[in-house]
Amino acid sequence: MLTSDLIKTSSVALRRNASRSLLTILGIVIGIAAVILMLSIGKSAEGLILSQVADLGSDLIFIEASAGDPTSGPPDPFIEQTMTLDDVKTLRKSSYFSAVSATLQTSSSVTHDQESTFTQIAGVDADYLEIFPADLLHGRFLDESDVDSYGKVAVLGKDIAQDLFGDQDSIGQRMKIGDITVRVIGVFDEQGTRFFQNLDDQIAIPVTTMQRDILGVDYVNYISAVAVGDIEIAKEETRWIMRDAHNLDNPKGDLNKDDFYVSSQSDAVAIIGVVGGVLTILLSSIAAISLVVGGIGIMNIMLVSVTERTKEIGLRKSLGATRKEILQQFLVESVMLTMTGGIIGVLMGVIMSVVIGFIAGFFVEGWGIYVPASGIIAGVIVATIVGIVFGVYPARHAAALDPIEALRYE
Amino acid sequence: MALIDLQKITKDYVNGDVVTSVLHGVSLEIEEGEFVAIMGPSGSGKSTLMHIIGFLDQLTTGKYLFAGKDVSKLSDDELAQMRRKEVGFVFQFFNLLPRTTVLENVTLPMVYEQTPIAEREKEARRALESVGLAHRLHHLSNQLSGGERQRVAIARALVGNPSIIFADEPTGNLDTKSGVEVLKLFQELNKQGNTIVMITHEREAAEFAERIISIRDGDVVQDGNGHKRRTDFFDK
Repeated sequence: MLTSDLIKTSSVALRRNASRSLLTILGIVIGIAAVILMLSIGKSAEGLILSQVADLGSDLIFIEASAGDPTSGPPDPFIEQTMTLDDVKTLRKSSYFSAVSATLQTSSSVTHDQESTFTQIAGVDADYLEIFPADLLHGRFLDESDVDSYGKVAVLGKDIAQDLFGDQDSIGQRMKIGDITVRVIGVFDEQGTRFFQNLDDQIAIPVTTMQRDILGVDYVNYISAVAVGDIEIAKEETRWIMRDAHNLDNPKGDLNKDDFYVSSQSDAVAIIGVVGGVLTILLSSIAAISLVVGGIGIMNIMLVSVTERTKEIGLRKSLGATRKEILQQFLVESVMLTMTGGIIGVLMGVIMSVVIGFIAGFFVEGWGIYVPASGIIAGVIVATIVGIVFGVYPARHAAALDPIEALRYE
Repeated sequence: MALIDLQKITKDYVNGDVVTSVLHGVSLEIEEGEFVAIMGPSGSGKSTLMHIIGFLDQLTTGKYLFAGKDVSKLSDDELAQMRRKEVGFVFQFFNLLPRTTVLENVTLPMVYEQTPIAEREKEARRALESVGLAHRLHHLSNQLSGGERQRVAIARALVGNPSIIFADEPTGNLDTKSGVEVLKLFQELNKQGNTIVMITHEREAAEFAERIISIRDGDVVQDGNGHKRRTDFFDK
C-alpha cells in the first residue's frame, strides 16, 4: 500500500464519521490544552517570583528564626521567635555587612477622621532604605532617634495615604494604628509589589514602637543584611556570630542545631526551582492520567469502528490486503485522531495561555505571557504516542479477522 | 496445463473436539477461458470449495496446482498476494463501500496492487465501460439499483486483469431481470476471454455457464456440459 493511499484511506474513513471523530478526540484535546495552560501559568508565576527575588539583589542575606534546617524537612509552624534587636546590634558590629535592618510585621486597622481601613504595618529601623531602596514623595523616612525613642511616627505607602487623607497634605497629621496615635512624617513614592505584598498599602513605623506598643513582644520576624564581598562567606560568618550571640553549643556548625536560618537570594531561587520541579511532576501526572483516559476512549471507538467495518475489512482482504496493510490502516486512523487532538489541544492551550496571561497582566504587575515551546512539541508527540499505544489493540484485532467470516458478518 | 488443478482435496473444520468434514477428496480441473458453475444445495460444500480455489481458505489434505504451481500450503501473506494478483471476487451482497463513489469503489483493488495513481482512473473507466456503467462514475454506491451495484462489483473484480473471477451467488440478491442481466454480462465477459467460476444453488442460473459441476455432501456428483445453455430464464 502506498503511503499516500494509506493516509487517504484513513482520512476518508475518519471524515465519514466526522462528528464521532471529533467527540472521540475531545479527551486528548482537553488533556493537552490543560497541560499547556498549566505550564504557561506555572512558568509565568515562577518568572514573576524570580524577577521579584532578583530585584532584591544578590548580596542580600535574610536571618529568621527556625528550628533547625528548614530545607531538611517540613517547616515547624510553632517556631520559637528567637531573633531580637540585640542580634541586629551584634551583626552591625561585623565588617561583613554594609547594612543590617530588622523587620516585624503585623496587620492592623488604621484610622484617620472618618476613614478607616485594615492594612499591613511594618516595624522597621533606619537602615531599611539602605536594603530596600525607595523614594519618598513627601516628608522624610524614619531616623535612628525615632527608633531609639519609640517614636510614634509613620511613613505611609502612596495608596494608603490616598485612602486615609485623600488629596490633603498628610505630613504632620495624626492617625491611629490600632489604639495608638502616630504622626505621619513621610509618604513613599509608588513602589509596587514585593513578594505579592503591595508596598503602596503598607505603613512603616519604628520597630521598637511596634514591639512595645502594638504587639507587646521583644522579637523581630527577620533581619536583613547587605553582605560585603563573597555572599557564602558572609552567610557562614553570620551563622557563627548568631551561634555566639544565642549561646548555642554547636562547634561543628550543624544547621539542625541552630535556632535561626540564614538564606539569600540564591537559596530562594533554588527553592523556587524545587517548587517548580514538583509542580511539573504534578502537572505531568495529571496529564498522564487524562491522556490515558483519552487513549482508552480512542481504543473503545476504534474497536467499535473495527466491528462496524468488519465487512469492509473482509472485502479489503478479498482484494488482497495483507494483515500488515489492515493493521497499518487502523493504526494510521487512530494516530491521525490523536495527532489531530494533540494539535487542536496545543492550539487551544496556547490561545488560552495568551488570553489568561493577558487578563492576569491587568491584575498582577509584572505578569508575563509565557507560551511553553517544549509543551507544544511534547503535546503533539505525546498525543501521537497515545494513538499508537491505544490503536495497536484494535488494529491487531482488525488485521487478525478471518476474511471469510468478515465477509459474511452481518 | 489447466489453470486450476485440484487433486483429492479435503477440508475439515475443527471446533473443539468436533471435526466436521466438509469436502471429501474433490478432484477437478478448470481450464483458462472456461465459464464454470459450481452448483449445489446449501451445506453441500460449494462455498468452501470456492474459498479454497479463491485463496480465501486453505485445504486440509490434497493438492492444489494453480497454473502448474503448487499452492496447497501458502502463508497468510502468500494467500493475500494470490488474491491480489490472480483473483477477482463478486459477492451476493455486492460489498461496495457505502457513501463512496462508483469510481472509488472500482479503484479500491488498485490500492493494494499499488497501481500508479495516474493510471487508476483510466483502468477503472475501462472496467466500468465493459459492464456498461461508464456514465455512473461519480454516483455514490447507495444511489444505484441492485443490478447496477452488482455490475460495479463486477467492474471492481475486473480491474487488474485477474486470471480468474469468482462469483458467489451473484444473482442471489437480485430480481430476475437484473439477475439475467448480470448472468448475460458474465457470458459476455467470458466470450472476451475471462475465466469465470460461479457458485449458485439455482439450476437456471447455473445453466448460463458452459459447464456445471454439481456438489453434494462434499463430493462432486456431476460434472459436464450436457445441458442446454441458457441466455435467458424464460426461453426453454
